[in-house]
Amino acid sequence: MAEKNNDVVLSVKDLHVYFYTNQRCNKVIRGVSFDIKRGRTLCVVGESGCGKSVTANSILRLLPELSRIEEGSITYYKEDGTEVRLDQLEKNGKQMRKLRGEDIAIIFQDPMTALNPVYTVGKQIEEMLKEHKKGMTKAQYKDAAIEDLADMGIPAPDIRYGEYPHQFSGGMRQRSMIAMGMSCEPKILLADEPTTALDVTISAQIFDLMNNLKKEHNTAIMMITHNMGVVAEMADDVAVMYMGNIVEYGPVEKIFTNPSHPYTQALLRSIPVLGKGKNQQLEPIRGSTPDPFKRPKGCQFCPRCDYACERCQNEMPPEEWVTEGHYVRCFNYKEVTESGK
Amino acid sequence: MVNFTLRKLLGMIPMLLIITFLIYAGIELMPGDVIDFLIPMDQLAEMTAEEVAAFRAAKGLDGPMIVRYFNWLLGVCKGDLGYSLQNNMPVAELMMQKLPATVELSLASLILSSFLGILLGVISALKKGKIADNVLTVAGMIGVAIPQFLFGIFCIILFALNLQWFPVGQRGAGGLLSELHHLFLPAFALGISQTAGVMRYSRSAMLDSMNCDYVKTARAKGLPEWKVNMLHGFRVACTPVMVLIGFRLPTLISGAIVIENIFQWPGVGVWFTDAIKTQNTPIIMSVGLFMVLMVLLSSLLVDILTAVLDPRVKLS
Amino acid sequence: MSNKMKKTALDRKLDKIRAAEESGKLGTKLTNRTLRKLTSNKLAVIGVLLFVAICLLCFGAPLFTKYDPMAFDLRAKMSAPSLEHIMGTDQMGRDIWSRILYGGRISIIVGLGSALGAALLGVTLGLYVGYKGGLMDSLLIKISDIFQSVPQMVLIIIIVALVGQSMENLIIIFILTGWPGMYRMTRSKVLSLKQQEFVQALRAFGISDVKIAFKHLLPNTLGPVVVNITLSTAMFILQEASLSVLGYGVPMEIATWGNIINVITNGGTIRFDWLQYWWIWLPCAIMLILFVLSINFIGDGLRDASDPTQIG
Repeated sequence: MAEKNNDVVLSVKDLHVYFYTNQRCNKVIRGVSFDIKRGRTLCVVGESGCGKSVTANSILRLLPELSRIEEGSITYYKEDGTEVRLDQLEKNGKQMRKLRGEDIAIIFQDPMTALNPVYTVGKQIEEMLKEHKKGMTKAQYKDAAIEDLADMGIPAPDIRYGEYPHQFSGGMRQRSMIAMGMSCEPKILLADEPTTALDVTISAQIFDLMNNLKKEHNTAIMMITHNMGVVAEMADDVAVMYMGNIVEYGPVEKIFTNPSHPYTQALLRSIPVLGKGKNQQLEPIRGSTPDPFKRPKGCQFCPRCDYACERCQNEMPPEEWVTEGHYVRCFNYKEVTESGK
Repeated sequence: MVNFTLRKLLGMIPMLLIITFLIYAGIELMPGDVIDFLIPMDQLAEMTAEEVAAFRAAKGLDGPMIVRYFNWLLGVCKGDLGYSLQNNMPVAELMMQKLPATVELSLASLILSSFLGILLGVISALKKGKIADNVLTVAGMIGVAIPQFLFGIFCIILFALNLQWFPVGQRGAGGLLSELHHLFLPAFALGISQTAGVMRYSRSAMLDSMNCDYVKTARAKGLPEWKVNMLHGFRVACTPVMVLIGFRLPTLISGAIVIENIFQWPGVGVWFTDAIKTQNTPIIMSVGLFMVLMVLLSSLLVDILTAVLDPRVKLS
Repeated sequence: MSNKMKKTALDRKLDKIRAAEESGKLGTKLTNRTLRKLTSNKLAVIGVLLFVAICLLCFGAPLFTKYDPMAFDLRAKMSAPSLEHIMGTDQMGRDIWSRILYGGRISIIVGLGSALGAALLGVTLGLYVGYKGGLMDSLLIKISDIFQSVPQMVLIIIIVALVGQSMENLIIIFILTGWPGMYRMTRSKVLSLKQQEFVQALRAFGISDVKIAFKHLLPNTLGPVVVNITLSTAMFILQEASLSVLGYGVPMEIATWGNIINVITNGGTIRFDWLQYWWIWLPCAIMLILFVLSINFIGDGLRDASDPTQIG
């Protein structure tokens, strides 16, 4: 990224992550760069399989065994000014473990499976506290866990403390996941599609909760979603991902009013806008996502793109700055931006 | 819990009745006449038809099968297992002589195979794809491929004949040390040959558990790897492994038959196979009843154990 | 991965895959993924080769031995391996090598036949009755409960005593004791498939129950069934041998692997004085272990091949 901003807590540069299942090498992430800033929400948006979750898991080094970070850097800027290269730490080593939960927390997509079924919710929150805030008494841990549950708006937290995950509803489970994630007041919260498994009203409550956290604790949030509506509601910054690349990145106002990548435009055109009436024309994106093993040679979006030229077929467009803090990977972005207006 | 147990126990009764009846009918349908096993041939040839009939009546071998089955059932309900047809010894007394040997052998091998199997299985799962896993996997498959009796023979040849570390045949008498000395080799043979199965099962249960999201949550909390593996991965994998071991309890008694034969172990196994050969109904029925009871009780135990280990499971 | 860290064996393996992928070597073949994984699994390949080799030896026995497995030669009792008898002779002067090969036929037929029979019965019932449900289903579940409540070895011994000893009877007995497992496995799979939409759709189209069960549900259950068949083949071969120890197997005079090995146990007690004649039982024991091992390798390979998390 061009400038080093004091608000940046985590900076990812030119990240490459490859998966090695079934004796094949799948290049899931192919050069991704972005910053996460204090007190701001970065929404990573894209269709399933584009590498959003992998990006989040790479930051915490939670990738599955048959996968590697091949190139690039992930740098975490501590409050005291030191820099930690997360990609160079030992995967489950002491330093990485200290950062997990205490500095960077993650919330997973499915609260049904993310909590261990055999322990009470209270115990699972306490486990986090015991790992990072040593030297408290038993009663203090319990009180802290109950307080965390109460903070997330869980009614009767002292009773809920002793219950098992299967006795919770989906929304309550996700709240307790967030309670767990926030219990050590992390600097960064990674949320991997936290509301996909929940219904709309519950989602809205969860989003409110996260927005409050951002305001009160100045937490940096990275939110992964495939839902443009969520982006509109939550995001300060947006990264649009397609087939392992960020194709457009910038502040939310710019992305929504001034989309410069054909894929972003197509995404925006394919969702209904509230208040525009029922006669609005929705355009699905033509074609389908390519097979990860038979990728286009140049720009990944090229076969589905209306602006594609010969150059697009052979070369991957570099990150080009449209305005400050807003970049796009497209050779023809000027033409695209014009037509989008 | 108490309610559930009572209901389950009551539910066992029809099952027990059906199965014991089937075994009883099975013995009846066996070719040959019990009399042939009880009276030597030359004596039988000299006996008159009346004498034979009187002998049958004395042994309780006359009358229709249904009547005899219910007589047996009535006896069992009163706590009377009947008398061995061969030597008129009370079956209950014989059982008390034979059973401890079998239970001792089975239990020792169960403990050995469970402990080793779980330990190696978990190591194998955690080292998946590495050398340790490959070696254990191949060793496990060879273990499954060697017939139990053959493994027993190998053990006897190596440890009893060549190295002379352990005696073969009989239980130890006089002191714990002597008993353990005698018990070790058959228990080792039986236990090791069962370890492979437990190991492979533990490995896959552990792998399943380690692939679940909560393991990732545990890592994301910053827990050290041993806590992730043991408190989260293994704790959940425990349930299916315990279920497997629970279901193995009853097969240990019957599974010991072959090893008891090879090691001349004075347990139920040899006694039971002899009883079948000579159609000694009271013995077959008593041992059969005991084994079926073990199966049903183990399944009850497994149900309770699952409910204890997994809070999602409700006894109903 | 950063250069500072040392490369592990896994890293080197991944490097190799990446290099192959980048040079475009991978993915050109259009072979079945399961098949490809199976062939890249060394143990499974060894298993298939061993299996085929032993089957060839046994079923082509006359090509590999000139002796009749039943022919006595009392002048050559217990003779050690020689050029004449490559594995020696037994206590009645019968050629061991020939007995192992011909005995293998019986053992393999018993094992494979029983496993296939049990699968045929269990899967057919599981598919159709499991799909239809109702009275028949609950009856069969009770019956399989009863079968599984009597310890298997005890059940087998009682049935053998009942119907007598012969190869055919043994197969029937193994099928009888083996089907409940297959039935339960298929049934539980069918019950979960039944809830899926494609089955509801088929029913809505008015497709007959038989056709749904055997044309649409069967292919979906085939994976675990095939694995189960291989593993139970191995199990039945082992059980045949164990029954021989107890004197309940195929009649002693017929050569089977179990019967050949059990010369040394003489129906229970080991003949310690015969241990010096190792050739009468050890080669056959090794043959049996190799065969069971080959089947287990194949079964395991098949299971892994259908598991995407495994690096093949």
